[in-house]
Amino acid sequence: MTSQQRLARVPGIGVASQYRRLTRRHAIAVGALATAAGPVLAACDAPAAGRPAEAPAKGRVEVGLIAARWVIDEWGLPQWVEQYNKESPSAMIKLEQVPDGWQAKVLSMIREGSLVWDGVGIMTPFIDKVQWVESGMIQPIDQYVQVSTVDGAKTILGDLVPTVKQDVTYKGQIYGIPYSVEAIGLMWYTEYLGGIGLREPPGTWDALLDAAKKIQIQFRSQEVVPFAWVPAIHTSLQALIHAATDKPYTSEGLLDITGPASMRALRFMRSLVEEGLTPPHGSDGYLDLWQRSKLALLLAQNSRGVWAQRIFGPDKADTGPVPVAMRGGPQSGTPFWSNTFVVFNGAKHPQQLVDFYIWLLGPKNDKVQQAIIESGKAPVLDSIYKSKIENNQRFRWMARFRDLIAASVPYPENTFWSIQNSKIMPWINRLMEKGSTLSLEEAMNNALQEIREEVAKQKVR
Amino acid sequence: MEGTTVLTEQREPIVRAFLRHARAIRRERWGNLWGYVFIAPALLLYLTFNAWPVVRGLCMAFTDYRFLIRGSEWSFNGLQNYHEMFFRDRVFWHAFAVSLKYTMMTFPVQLVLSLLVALMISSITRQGVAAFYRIIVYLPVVLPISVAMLLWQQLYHYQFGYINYLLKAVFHVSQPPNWLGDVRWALPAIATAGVWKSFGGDTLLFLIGLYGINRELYEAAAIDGANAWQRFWNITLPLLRPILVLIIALNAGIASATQEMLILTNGGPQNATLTLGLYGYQLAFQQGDLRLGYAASIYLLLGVIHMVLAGLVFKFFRTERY
Repeated sequence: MTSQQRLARVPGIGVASQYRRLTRRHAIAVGALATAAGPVLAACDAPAAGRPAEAPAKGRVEVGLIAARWVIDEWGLPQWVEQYNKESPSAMIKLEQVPDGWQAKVLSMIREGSLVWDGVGIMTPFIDKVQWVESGMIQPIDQYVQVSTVDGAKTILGDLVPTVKQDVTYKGQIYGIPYSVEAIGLMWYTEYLGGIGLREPPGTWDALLDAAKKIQIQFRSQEVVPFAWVPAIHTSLQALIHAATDKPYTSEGLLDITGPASMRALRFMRSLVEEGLTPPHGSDGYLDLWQRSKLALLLAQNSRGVWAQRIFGPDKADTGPVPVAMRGGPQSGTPFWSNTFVVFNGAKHPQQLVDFYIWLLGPKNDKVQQAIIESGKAPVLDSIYKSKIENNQRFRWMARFRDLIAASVPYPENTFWSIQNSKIMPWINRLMEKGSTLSLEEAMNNALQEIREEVAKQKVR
Repeated sequence: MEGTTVLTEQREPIVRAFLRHARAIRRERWGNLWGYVFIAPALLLYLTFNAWPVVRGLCMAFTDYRFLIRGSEWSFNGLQNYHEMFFRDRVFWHAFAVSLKYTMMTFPVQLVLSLLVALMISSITRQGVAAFYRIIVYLPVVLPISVAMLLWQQLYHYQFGYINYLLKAVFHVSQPPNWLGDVRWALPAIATAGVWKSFGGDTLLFLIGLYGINRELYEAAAIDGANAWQRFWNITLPLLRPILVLIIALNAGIASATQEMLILTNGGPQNATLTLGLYGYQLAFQQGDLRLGYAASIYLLLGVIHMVLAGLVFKFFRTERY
């Protein structure tokens, strides 16, 4: 070993000599390599979803559409965009995934007059509609539909399930084209209902309670939880209120949580919890239970049933309406909402985008409608129910939902749902503590007071 | 004309001298102007993406800016936000208390744990083994918070979670806690996940301090008969003081914790994990008019609290430079 090598092994000195070996030339070489690698990597980047490789042909305009990842993936949106781009003589759709914080970006672009996109999917009307309209983010589409020459343009709005049409309407104008509708329903694993001798799901609260008790006894050794709800108001109390009264909302535009239907629903929920027929609080850890098929019945939005079918097979799970408080009693359907494509205010090519929406989601595009149904989402057009659902054994539950949705009272047109959800859920949670002595009336009166306090601070009503 | 030329000739050296002097002063005070040209792009980026948002946020905290109300961006309302916050908003005080509790739960534990682990790692003499432990300890820090929290959500599941499985199978606990669903356990459970996620960063900082302490001090103390505790108390801790101050100041931000709660419980059960950070997020991005102005005032208050805490730490734990 040379003296230099020995020196290099001495702690500190060895390290220093290593640093010395890194010269400026090395740094420049690394920098040059990185600079060269940048464009190469960028060139290797896969094109964004549905993004056409070529520029629009002469006379065609480029229309920017942004969509949530799940919308892009769920029913193959990029392939439909690609097909449209081949067929359309006037427009080329450029599809991109929504960027982070897109709402603030879009709004500031609109206010500066420099909007680069024309529309977005998806609007969830009961949460977004009033916010997006009032903030000036989206514009009505009635006028564009009226003058559109795309096949189906004359019939599409009239073909919408009436309450779905109402769901996308605000102050008398239509704010988007929905592609599917989701509603709160009861989902179940057929094995457990079959295990207690039931072929049909329970239709009333009493029948549900009875079935849950039987499941608990029958499947105790498998640690199966009989029933749960998703912890949000529309998937629990709101759905049950709809199932017990024809007037679920007050004149203030709030869910009637202090009325008799609410008290009855809460008593029912509490009895389930007290009898040990649910996970803690009626909903803790419900998703894991459901996805492992350790939960027999679930009150949730209807796509959760299709999730279970995808995991365990189409015959293993099914979906049906929320059981009613009393057969033949008053009811108001179920909470529902449409998944809607909208057009931005200040869009450069609103007509072309609406034309695309009509081509994509109109009654004439059979293949897209089939893809939507296969993805587990219920369609929004009456004609599709007649042609594709009524004779389809696997998706016949959708037909039941169509009728239920058509008879449902839509959400009030305001921005109060999130406020109500954040104020009511903590009180429901307290009520659903096992052995809780809190009275239903006290809990809901407190919640209502908190809601009113917060609503009083809002300017958009 | 001749007279003028003479005057100019006489003035020239004076002007030149003045200019030379001015140039010297400028160079002395401002340095080379090219330096400013070179840093200008970086400065511009900093002003655009760092300084402006801070100024904008500061202004926003004194407005009634509501995302849904057009033209409300600059509607200044003086101290109304703060009046509402302190005197009319019960949820604010609840969230404040939760934030305080969360800080009390995480901060001391994180500090002691990271110091303990750093001491253990620093005592490892084999470099490879020490490096292995440093990596292990630091891994949770680089893990995206969403992944880390979803992992803990699985661990905490009341029926399928590994923690309750262990409690039931090994310790025969018949009714293990409902970690995220029980008001009593939810905040400590999140605090545990939070400490796990971030104590690696503090450990690394402590290690930097520990590796910088001269070993001869310990040898001398050992010769003088100091035991391990005395060596830690009289040598390690005083010499770690600058690092300790830095860690305490950096951890002042725990009070505004948001993401952990957002992912694990969304403020529940019964608002038991609703921190100020999460409350501000709900007001700004989820509820009603989307009251960005009011939310900004909450965040400004958090910022002021952090600044005061950091200032106090620097004031009372000030150390000499070594």
